[in-house]
Amino acid sequence: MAEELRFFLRTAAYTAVIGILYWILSYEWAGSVMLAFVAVATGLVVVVFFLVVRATRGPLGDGGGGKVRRAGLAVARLVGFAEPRGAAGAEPLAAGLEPIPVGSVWPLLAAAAASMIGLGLVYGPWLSLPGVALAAITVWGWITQLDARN
Amino acid sequence: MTTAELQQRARGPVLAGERAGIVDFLTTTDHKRIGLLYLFTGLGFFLLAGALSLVMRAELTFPDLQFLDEATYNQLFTMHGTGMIFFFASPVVFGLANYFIPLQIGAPDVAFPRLNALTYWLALGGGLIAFSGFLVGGAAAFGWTGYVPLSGPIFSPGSGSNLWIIGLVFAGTSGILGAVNFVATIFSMRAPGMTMFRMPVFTWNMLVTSLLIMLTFPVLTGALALLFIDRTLGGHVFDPAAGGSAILWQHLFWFFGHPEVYILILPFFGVVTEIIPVFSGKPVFGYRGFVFATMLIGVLSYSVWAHHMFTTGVVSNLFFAITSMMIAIPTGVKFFNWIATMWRGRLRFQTPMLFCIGFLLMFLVGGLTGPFLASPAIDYAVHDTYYVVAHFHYVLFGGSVFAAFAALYYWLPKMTGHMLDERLGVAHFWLTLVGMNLTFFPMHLLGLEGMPRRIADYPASSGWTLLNVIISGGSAILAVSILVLAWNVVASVFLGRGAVAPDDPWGGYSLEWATSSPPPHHNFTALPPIRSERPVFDARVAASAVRPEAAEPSVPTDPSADQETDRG
Repeated sequence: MAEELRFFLRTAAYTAVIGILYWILSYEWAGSVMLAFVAVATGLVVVVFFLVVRATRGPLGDGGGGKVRRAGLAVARLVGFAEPRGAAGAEPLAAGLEPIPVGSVWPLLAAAAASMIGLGLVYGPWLSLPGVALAAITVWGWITQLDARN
Repeated sequence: MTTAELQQRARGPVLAGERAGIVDFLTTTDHKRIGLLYLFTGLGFFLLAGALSLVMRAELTFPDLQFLDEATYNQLFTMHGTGMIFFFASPVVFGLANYFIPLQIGAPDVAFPRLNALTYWLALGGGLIAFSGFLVGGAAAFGWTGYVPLSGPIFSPGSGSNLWIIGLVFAGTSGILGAVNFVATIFSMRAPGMTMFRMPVFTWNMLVTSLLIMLTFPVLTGALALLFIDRTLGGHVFDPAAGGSAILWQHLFWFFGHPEVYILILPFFGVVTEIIPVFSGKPVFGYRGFVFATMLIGVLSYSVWAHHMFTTGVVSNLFFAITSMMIAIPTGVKFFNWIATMWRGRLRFQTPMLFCIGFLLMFLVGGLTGPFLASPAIDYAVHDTYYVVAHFHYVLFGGSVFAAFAALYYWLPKMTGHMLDERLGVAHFWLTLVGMNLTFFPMHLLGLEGMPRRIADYPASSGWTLLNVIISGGSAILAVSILVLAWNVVASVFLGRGAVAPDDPWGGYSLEWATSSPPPHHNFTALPPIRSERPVFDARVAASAVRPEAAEPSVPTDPSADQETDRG
């Protein structure tokens, strides 16, 4: 198991054990639920990534392997970590690295939109509704920026 | 690089990149510029929140109310705490992490550059929104912890409190997005050869910090959303009269709040662990021990939150006393390693190292009062007194701020291409050390004498006047020390009077010293081979064709680290 996974696993293991201990000692809901949240969140990272690591080991798309591996492939595709079957054998970096944008106005506008929406919660919809409109424009500009550049 | 080339570069834009106009900064996605924006924004809020504390100290110097009323005083200490924690310390952490994580792991940028820019603008927006309460009839006035029912609609009406909530939601969201970015960067963008156990300790500590942020900031954000609903939409989540629970707020807040303290100190442990080995001429003692101690502090921090709630009488004091005291163990490991790193080293007492030694001493005082406060019997006596104020100021000023100053003197030459003035730096250090101890040490005594925190006035018959005069005098010295730092930065960097910084002014070990000062866009033109946790040192030794053991007193590196393969 890679160190990256062990890193999450340690947190999951500790909070699972201490969460059970805490519940037995206190029968207190809020803390027990939060410790369980931490254990489940980090545990989920370990499980999903472990399956992805297993699923992407060996040639992709050969259709073989055990149930666990096939389930892992399905999960990996679902969350976007594995190449689809048709792309088997393609060099992952053959097309070159994705260009890193040298600048973008969209993060600033996104924060401005968020500020308008947030302040609108305090002062009224006259401020948040334009904020929502700006947010919609920003999301569109953000996701199409790299396409436009290419 | 020749001296002429260095001077030519220094005459160019101070900051990394070809152009550095205001539009470039508004639209930048470069991690270095975003790091600088974070850093100087954090320092700006440091001045603002520090000014609030000076006003408070002026009022508290003598008994009776002189020029403030209680309501204003409540706003001042609330926004002082909020500003220092959410809008000074966090942005400085994020600024240093933004600038140096990619450099230390040999990456051209962070994993999500535009998301990175968004986190900065959200953090700035959050700070401005929270502080804008002063302009609309009064900022939040219930302490940075926002305890209900004080922060509820009955006791704290007014939009200033709502703005505080929205500002903190922004800060929390920004933190979560930034943490995701750092984890993705560290996991997926390390240079060939940079295995997990060859990463610099600062990067390791930021990884642990990022996980803490990802798991605890959502709790704060959720709690703030519930509080906002209670305040504006008629909710009763925290209202006991309608079946809600006021204690629930404390659980939610401190489940975030205590890890937050580690979020504010672990990166600075990393900073100190970068600087001490370089200025001791030795590798860090017990690299793996350091990393695992950091992880242990990280996981333990999830199970200590209710030591802030001993006096509520509804939490398991035994459980939280034991888990809290356990944190002293990994922290003690770190102290041992720092001292062992310096032991018999060739120490150079330049400004970054001075602040690190100051950090060790001051943080030790703050750390030692921690186990006292973790004992419920003592905590019942000193809870909500100035003893607690003294404790966390020794931790966060003596710890985080000292290490932040060390980081400024150590890394600002890399970021700007200009060295800071050494004499002013040494003066800044001594003023800070003296001012800090005069300010915060007497607070221990005041706390033991029973002076409550968060009061604007105290009776003349209490006998607390002398200590309060000393504290206010100390805070004035601290203010002067900040002016010295500000002049140093302005003169050396912005007026360009500082000596031109070479690529590696200190004889550093990690990859940020393998590139120019400031680094070019995308950071590196060439990377040295990475075969240990000190690649730049290795390259220096190889270049001078001197055997490592002859170059400096060196202890063998962990042989298992060399066998670790990059399986990420």
